[in-house]
Amino acid sequence: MNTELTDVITTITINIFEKLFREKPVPGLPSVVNERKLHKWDISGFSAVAGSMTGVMAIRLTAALADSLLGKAKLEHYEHHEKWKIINDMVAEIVNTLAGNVLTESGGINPKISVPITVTGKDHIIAHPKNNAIVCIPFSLSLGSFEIEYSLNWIG
Amino acid sequence: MIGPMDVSVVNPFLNSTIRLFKEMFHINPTYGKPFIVAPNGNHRWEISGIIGIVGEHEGVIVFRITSLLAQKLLQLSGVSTKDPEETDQVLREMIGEFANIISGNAIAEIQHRKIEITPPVVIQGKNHNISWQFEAPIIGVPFVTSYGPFEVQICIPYQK
Repeated sequence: MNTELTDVITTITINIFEKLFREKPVPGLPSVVNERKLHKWDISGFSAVAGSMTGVMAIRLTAALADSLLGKAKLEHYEHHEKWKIINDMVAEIVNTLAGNVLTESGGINPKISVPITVTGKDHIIAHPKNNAIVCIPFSLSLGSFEIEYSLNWIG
Repeated sequence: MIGPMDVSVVNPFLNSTIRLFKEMFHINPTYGKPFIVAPNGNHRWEISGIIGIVGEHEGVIVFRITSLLAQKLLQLSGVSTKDPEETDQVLREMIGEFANIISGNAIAEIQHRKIEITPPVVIQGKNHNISWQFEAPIIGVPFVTSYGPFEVQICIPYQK
């Protein structure tokens, strides 16, 4: 596990949550994980990365936490039927900001980040690119818990 | 500024898909009428291989397949597994590898645009929904094989 990169991701995640939601998430112990079949996450957002650094960064959270975060976000009025679209957009924005800031901080040369993608569905499995270890950083908030997963490799 | 999707960029992905099935499995898939994909609609796909496109075109290519067809392809490739868990893992790796090969071959053909692909990410699960903030329609291309259907979804508008 790359502890330097893990620390950078942890700090940036905390900053994003403080800025967007005025909530300070508390990080738990990072660990290397496999592609988990059983988990509690209802929604995942990820960005894939190409260039001098390749791989994936993802955030995984429950529907209840996503809903609570939406309530904390400074959003204009929205219709109820738009709620899940807005939650998807919010999760996408978190992971996009995370990936952009991490790559800037990590000094990647000409990194390219894919559009952020969100996935919903019970027990959906995310298979990261093979050959990369998947590092999971758990976080807890007063509103619930979430995880950041990453699998990144430097090329060359 | 976002431009329209360009057939000279989309077609290499479809041609590359057909070539992979022919060369690896001796299967000749045929494609049906392209359609606009409805966000979060119900679907039958249990495994999705996702590739991000970055550069002069930005967007996403998704290869979507049923577990049944994926298992048939695994069987045709001669790979055996010892239990259902290992089978699922190998299927995910296989679909990720397909997505990577198809996209890699396609961008090698697209020499008039500077584009790159990201590593593949595979999602597995019944009724999983994939969405992204798109500013262009997602084009779905249905394919049929003698062993079942699959689908390629493409959303890669030109970034002017």
